[in-house]
This record gives sequence, C-alpha cells and structure tokens, in this order.
Amino acid sequence: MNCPEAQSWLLAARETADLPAAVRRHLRDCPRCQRRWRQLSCLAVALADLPGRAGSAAARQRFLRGPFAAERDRWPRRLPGWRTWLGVAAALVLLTGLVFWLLPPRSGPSTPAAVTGAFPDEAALQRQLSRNLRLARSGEANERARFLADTADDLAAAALAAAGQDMLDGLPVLAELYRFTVHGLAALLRGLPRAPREKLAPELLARLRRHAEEADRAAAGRLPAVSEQVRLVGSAAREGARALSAEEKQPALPAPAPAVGDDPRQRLVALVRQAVRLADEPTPLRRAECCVEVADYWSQAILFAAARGEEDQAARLGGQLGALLEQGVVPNVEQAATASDPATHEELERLAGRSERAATVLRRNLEQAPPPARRGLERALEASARGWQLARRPPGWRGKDLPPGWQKRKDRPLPPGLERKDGKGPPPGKGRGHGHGKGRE
Amino acid sequence: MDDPSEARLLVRARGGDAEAFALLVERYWDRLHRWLYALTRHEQSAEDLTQEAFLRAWRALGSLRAEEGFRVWLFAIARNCLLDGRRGPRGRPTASLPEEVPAARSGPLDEVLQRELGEQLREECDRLPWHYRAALLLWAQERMSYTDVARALSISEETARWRVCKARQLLLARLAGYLDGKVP
Repeated sequence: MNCPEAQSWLLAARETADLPAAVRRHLRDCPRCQRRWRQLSCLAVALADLPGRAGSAAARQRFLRGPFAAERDRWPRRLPGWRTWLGVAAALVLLTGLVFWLLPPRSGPSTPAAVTGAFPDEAALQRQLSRNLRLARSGEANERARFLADTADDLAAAALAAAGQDMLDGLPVLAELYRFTVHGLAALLRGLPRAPREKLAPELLARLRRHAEEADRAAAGRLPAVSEQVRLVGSAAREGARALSAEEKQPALPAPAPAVGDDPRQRLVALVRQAVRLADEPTPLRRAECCVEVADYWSQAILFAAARGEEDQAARLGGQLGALLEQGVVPNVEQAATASDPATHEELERLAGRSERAATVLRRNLEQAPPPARRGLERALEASARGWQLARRPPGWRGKDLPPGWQKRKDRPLPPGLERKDGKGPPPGKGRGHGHGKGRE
Repeated sequence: MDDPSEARLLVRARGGDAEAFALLVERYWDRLHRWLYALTRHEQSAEDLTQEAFLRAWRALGSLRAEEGFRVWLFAIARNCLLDGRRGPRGRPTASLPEEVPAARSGPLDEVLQRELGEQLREECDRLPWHYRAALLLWAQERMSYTDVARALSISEETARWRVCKARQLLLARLAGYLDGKVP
C-alpha cells in the first residue's frame, strides 16, 4: 500500500473503523498519512459543527398554521382502520377471483407497466424511447398503431396514478400528451385501408373506452383541479373513440413543443411528439429527420446534465443519443439514400449537417468544460460514440454511393477524449459496417 | 427506519394524522432548511423550498415505501423542489445579506482558530460546485451513508462517494493551513 492509495481511502472514510486493515497498517507507520488523516478528521468535525442558518421556529409555525393547515383541511387523509382495510382487501380478492373465473381467457394488449411516484421516471422514458426506435424502423401500419396505442396506455396510466396521489403538477402535461397521442392514433387508423382498419379498430376502441372509464372513476372525489385534468383524459379518450369510427378527417392538433433542458417531463414531451410523428410518417427521409430532431434535443439535455455535474445522467442520455442515431437515424438514411432524385440527396445533406452540428456542440463544450462538467460530457460522448460513427457513414454504404453528407465526413476524428490511445483516432472506414462495431472506442 | 418513534409517527401520518406529520416537520425543519440554505445561500428561497418539500411530502406520503427512510426521502423531495424551481445552479438568486459574524474578541487560541476555521470553511464550502456541496453536507452534517446520499440526490453510490471525496479534497487543499493550526 502506498500513500496515494491510502489517501484515497482516507478521503472516503468517516472513521478509522471504516478503513481496511491494510490502510490502517499503513497509517500506523506513515507520518505523512497520519497528518492527512488528522486534517481530514478535523475537517469532518468542523463541517459537522459549521454554523448554518437553521430555519426559524416562527417560519415553521407559519408553515404549520398557513399552507399546511390549508392543505390538511382541504384533504382530510384520515383513513379507515386496519380492520376495515382487511375487509375491503378480502372482498376485492374474492371479487377479482370471481371475475377472472367468470371471464374467458383472452389475449390482448399487454397491461401497461404500473406507474408509481413521480412520472416520468427514467425507466418510463427508456421504455418510450425503445418504442420510438421500433416505430422508426417499422414499416407495418398495424404495428405502428399498436405502438402508439401502447404509448396512450402508458400516458393514461401515468395520469391516473398522478391523480391518485394528487400530483397536480404533472397532470396537465400528461393530459395534453394523451390527447395528442390519441388524436394521432385516430389519424393513423383512418389512413389505413379498410380491411386492416376494421380488424384493428375494435381492439383500439376497447382500449380507449377503458381509459375513459378509468378516468371517470379516478376523477371522483378529487380536488376540482385534479378532477378537471383527469376528465380531460376521459374526454380525449371518448373523442378519440369517436374519431376512430368517423370517416371525415379531423383537424390536426398542434404538436406539443418541449422546453429546452433535461427535465424528464420535457423529454417525455419530445418523445411523445416523435412517436406520433413517426407512426404517421411512411417516408424514411422524414423519419430520419424526426430522429435527428430528437437527437438534437438529447444533445442539449446532455449539456444540462453535465453542467450540473450529473455524470451518470449525462452518460445515460449519451447512451440514448447513441441509440437514436444508430437505430433511428442510420437505418432510415440508408433507405432514403437509395432514391436517385437530387432533392432527396439535398435533404440528406441538410440532415447530415444538422446531425454534425449537434456533435460539434458537444465536442466544443467538452473542450471548454470546467472539471465538474467534463466527466459527464466525456461519458456521454463515449456512450454515443458508436452512434456518431455510424451516422458519419451508415453501414452498408460503399464509396461514391454514400449519401452526399456522409461522404464528406467519413475521415473526421471522434470527439476529443474518445480518440484511440495511440492518439491516431479511429481508422476511417475500417472495422465498421453492418453493426459489427469494431471501430468502437 | 431506525428510530421507532419516527416509525410510529410515520404510520400515523400516513393514516392522515396531521398532528403526527407536524411532529415530523418539527423534527426535520431546521435540518432541511440548513441544507437548502447552504445550497441556495438565500434565506427566502430556502424557506420557500423547505415549505414546498414538506407540502409535497405530505401529499405523497402514501407513496413512501416502508423500507425507505423518511429523512432520505424528504431530502430527495427537497432536491427535486430545488431543481424544479431552478433555484439551484441554473437560476441561483443573488446572494443574501452576509451571515451574522460574531464580534471579534480575545480568547483562548483554539477558540480563535476554531472561529477562523469556521469562517474560512463556510467561504470555501460556498465556493464548491453546488452538487459537491449537496453531497458533502448530507454526508458530513446529516451523517448519511453513501447509499443514502445517493438516494437523496438520485445519483449512483459511486458518484456520491466521488463527489464527497472530491469536495473534501478541494477543502483540504484550500484549508490545509487552518487545519494544521488546529491539529493538536
């Protein structure tokens, strides 16, 4: 054990007992580390005793008599005793058993994952992103409609869970996103040929009716502001159910726009907007454009997370950005580039420029990042490296057949910090192609 | 949850007992306010955020899982309030009036050293990036484990450990002279 090793343990330990035996042995014999340990112990005591500005008793009383009293009076939470709950639970178990026994088994859409606590959590966002990436590659309208219906299921479940916890702050966004999704679903279904539409409609109608009924139940007995938002979900479900059977085209709803940042709700807005657009977009070029837009948004979110020093979050977002490029942008660009018309190639050039700008912004920020933000950015770029590599030259493209925008960038180096250890950067065009990922740093 | 009396208060509060929740408010108000003030350096923001955190906690008590500690959960809510309100790193308000500084007076040497160290330490803590400060103060003042710091700040345990170590390393580099003076 040498001093630097020992001192890294000392920095993390609160007491001598927290140190491994080898470090304690080193400490016994090393005056330098003994001095460091005394300094750290002294620092810990000084920090614990550091005079802070504790809240005043008057402020606490103001809170208890003011906002808290108002909240408490508005929402009496006194619940029945445990015996009552036990009785209710037993009755529910019996009733559920009876219902399942009476109903024939059926196969249908999977039940959306339960949403608890603050929504959306990272798992819910990841689920939506994975769904969007499948939407980006799906050529089947039936399949796309089902993905969008799954999104509506999740949003409805989240809104009802938020209402159940009186979390008014997230409800308006969820209600708006739900309405937008259901409207998109109806538009998608109306665009289908008669036979698949008639096959799919009953299932989707049943899902929307279930949302409406659940929303009605959830709205009962809630704070008027909460009920109002939940009823918006119910009315959007009914409106969507009517639109599914209507022949005439409904006017388009304005797409919700995510605010800049990395707030989870805003990321959800970006993903739902993308899902609705992808579901209704048969053109690979437009699907690629849609994915580039979200990748652009994700790059900004990474900067926000890195600026706060949230390395893990930046790395997670970086991984998602990589997936967006690799699974959303690249396959659609490959498809679009088979077209021979100059207009498509011009559009591809424009998209390539936009995607490159997002990478440049991240690289430039990394070069000038202060130390706390640096690590997060490095990890984000590392996690998205393969996506950037593939976006520079989609697998499957050879020589002059490459889309114009990608041809220009094939020799550009990876972002700083991601070069190979020999300092030469990734070999352009080597070790790549068809998803083998050999060029991955 | 280690404290049986707190566990009882929580059970009552989850059942809708506002008196029990008021006792939890009494127990944690100062600690939460102290932490939020150290992060915002703004009295009014710290008070508003403390209120908001307790109100959200009251509304969401039903979602607190039995194995979760109330303290960590409450600090996690406070951290979310701080970020939601953009009163942290991105929208930091202007600094409030300086803390009351005790009048200089003669006294035993270590008392003077202690006071000087305290003042320097506060200044240096304020200079730390806020996310280092948030983790360090939970670890040092709330005596939270790295696991709890991680949960309160929604980060991994490894990141929590790294932030605390980094903060201590920075403070040590800046305050070594004072700390040596105080080391017996």
